[in-house]
Amino acid sequence: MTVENVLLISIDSLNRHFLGAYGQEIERDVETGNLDRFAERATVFDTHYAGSLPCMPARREWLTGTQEFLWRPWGPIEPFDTTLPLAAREAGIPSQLVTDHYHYFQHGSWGYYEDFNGFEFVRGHEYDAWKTAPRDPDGRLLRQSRRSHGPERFDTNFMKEAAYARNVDGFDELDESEFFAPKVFDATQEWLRENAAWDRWFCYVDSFDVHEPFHVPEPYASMYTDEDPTDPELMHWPYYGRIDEGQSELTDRQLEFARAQFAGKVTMVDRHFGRVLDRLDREGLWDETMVIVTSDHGHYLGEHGWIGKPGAPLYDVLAHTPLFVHHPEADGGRVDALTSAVDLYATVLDALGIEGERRHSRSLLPLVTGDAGKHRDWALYGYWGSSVNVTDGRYTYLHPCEESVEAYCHSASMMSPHSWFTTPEPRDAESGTFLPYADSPVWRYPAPSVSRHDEPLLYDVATDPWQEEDIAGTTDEEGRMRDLLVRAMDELDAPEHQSRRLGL
Amino acid sequence: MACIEYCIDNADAAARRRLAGREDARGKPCLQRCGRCARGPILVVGGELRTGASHADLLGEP
Repeated sequence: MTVENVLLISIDSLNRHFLGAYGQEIERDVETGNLDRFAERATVFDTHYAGSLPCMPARREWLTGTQEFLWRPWGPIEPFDTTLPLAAREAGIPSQLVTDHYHYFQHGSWGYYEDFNGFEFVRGHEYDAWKTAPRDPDGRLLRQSRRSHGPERFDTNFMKEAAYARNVDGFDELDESEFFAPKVFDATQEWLRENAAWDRWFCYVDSFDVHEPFHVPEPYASMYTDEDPTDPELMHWPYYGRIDEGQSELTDRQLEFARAQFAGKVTMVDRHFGRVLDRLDREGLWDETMVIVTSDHGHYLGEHGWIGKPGAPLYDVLAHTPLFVHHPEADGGRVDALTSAVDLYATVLDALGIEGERRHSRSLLPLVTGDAGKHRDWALYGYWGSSVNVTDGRYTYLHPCEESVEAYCHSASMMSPHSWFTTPEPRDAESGTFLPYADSPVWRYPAPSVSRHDEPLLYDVATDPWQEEDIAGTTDEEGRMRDLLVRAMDELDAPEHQSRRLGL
Repeated sequence: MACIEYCIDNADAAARRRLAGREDARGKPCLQRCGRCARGPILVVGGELRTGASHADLLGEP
């Protein structure tokens, strides 16, 4: 079941329920024809869950097979990790990264791109520290970004609020080729064309789109709304939080506009993803290439009263993610077995025929080929230092943490446990071989826990996919799911402090 | 609705204790003001950013 090549594509923040291949469970008819076209030749996973959230923790799951959120937050590749590109290069397989995901190049998340033989970095998304001019950026873009148009726009802080407006200054909003997903997927199809001479390869494409800012060019900006997309009262980059209070408060009109711009961005991504499919057709690569398309998490757009990826319960809008796998020797179809983001690591290694440790990852190839119908009993997901959540594919159980009990961060590096993107702070720490999956010593130090809800939450997602009725306290399933959570943490040999923090 | 939003990493333990006692205060893992947050005490009050020498100052407390 090995293949010559693997093309792994992440489309950030791609809400599963916006996709035609997943039934598009929304009122709006969003064009996703190319993802649907790909789904027809791929195995479509119906019960796939995120693991560690948000962006970089998901990437460490995919690239190293580590279910990291029980041990540490957003952070670097560890010295004891074997990344997919490192494993590939040691097997003589060249690797390439194509991305506009600027977090790879920031404080706090080093080590992700360095093992690739080549990388293409499309500059300028979100807070990418790219442009310093114009000093006084376009006020309309700042207002639509809901970012400061006061004196602080001249600040020199990390993640400066005016960065995006400066980065896209001069972009023609009538020319989509100047925007991010078009550039990323164009670079991808070009890489596929130029590298035909290699016998084998691993290419990882990480598109920051659909991630906010939901600033899109025409025709996408007007595709799903009758509003004027340049109206400064309408935001394409709302703050995370409740939609009914604080800095994230939105009117119905503003929320509807954000949804429309998100939908427009999904369609823009889809159209340019289609160019990669066309290139795979032209180069005749389907018979020798495994192609994986997935996302790290979703994005709340008013569901449960939230927007973004705030300190909210981890409902399925964020945690239940899309996954499509084309394998040349598989017939496609749908898989309803429970799978987890961390499983992509072993899947890629198996497909490339590379031996070695899989850590927390279990290959999906037996499901893809139809040699197995069941894969795992549980999938754990969450943010470090917060609730720990588990699903068996039927029920989702969200277990709160005790905020007064600190969480422990484990890493060979000093990290900023909550301020992920800034200079890591040296801290008082103890060292030791605290990790069950590595012999290396690491630092261990505490940081505040973050509560997302006070009581356990339980949903039957088979009958209640939007998780509107919390059935905790009404059924014996709660005890069974709690036991499953304990069992899952035991199987991973999770740190002892987690049991205290979670009251388990 | 007007409320006080604070970053649980920005507010020190004493400030978190004081803020946790207020019905109109909301502790958050991130206010998406990372650069300002890294430099010193911040709050978002009624949607507007406030910066100052301490959270007590920002709240007008002694």
